[in-house]
Amino acid sequence: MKKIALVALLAAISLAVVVALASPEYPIIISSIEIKDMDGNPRTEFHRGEVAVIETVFTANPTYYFVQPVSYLEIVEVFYGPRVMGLLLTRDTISAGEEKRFGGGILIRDTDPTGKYDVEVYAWNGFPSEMGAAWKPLAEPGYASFRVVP
Amino acid sequence: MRKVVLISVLALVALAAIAVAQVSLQISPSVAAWGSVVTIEVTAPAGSTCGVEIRNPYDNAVFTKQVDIPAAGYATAEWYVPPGAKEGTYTVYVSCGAAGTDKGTFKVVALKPVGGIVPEEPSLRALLAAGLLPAAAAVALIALRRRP
Repeated sequence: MKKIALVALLAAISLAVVVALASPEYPIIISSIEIKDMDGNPRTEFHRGEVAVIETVFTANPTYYFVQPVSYLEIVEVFYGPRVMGLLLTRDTISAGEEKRFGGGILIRDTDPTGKYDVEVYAWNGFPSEMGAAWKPLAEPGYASFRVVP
Repeated sequence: MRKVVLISVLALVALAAIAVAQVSLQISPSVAAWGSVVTIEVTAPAGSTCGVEIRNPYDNAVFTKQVDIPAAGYATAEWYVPPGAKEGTYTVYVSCGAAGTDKGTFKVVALKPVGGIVPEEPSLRALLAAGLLPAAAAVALIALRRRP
């Protein structure tokens, strides 16, 4: 009986570890991040004074079971190193089979530095300040970049 | 046998409780001037995914970051304080979900603190003392003398 209890305990601990380490399944896939100019042309480089338009596509994960529409906070953030050059936010919901598009422009000011700008896109269930311990990401982050040239 | 099972269950519950309490923030510096970088170190259980958020004194979000905690148990995020940032107390929130949350603050000032003391912003009197007004007077005098 002692052996059975020990084996059961070890099995329970192993299962807990596997569950804890397993990759979470997110309801959203950040399926596209495109950077364009104001005319809708894909661009990888911009000059000061131009607007870099960032368009994202969120797709409902086909393997995720949507009991009800999932509410999300989308964050599009542009960095130059540790410096936040732009921050775009939107809130929406997504259901099974849906695709959601969002876009916004970041003005590259005359005083902004030249070089590589990194775009990071997140899907969260809210801000950490709002959600507290209930905060969670709803997708793997998405990344893109563009350059600002003289 | 019952004792073994009971002790094992209690041990598992204790481990879970310890994991939940393991999220903490370290923010440096505590007073940051325009143009400096604030480093936020998040300590959390390895494998956690955490959301970091900075809010300014107007309670507007000025920075967000999602970090994955590696085996070392901590990750860092950096925020550059832009010139013109609202002076005052900024709040940093971190949540690693069920692993825990933490909150901290730092101050933003316009001028670089010297020896831990933040100097007053330059006043008109200080500008006068620096000689700007006399310089302007000298330019005006030269312009007058050059008049035909």
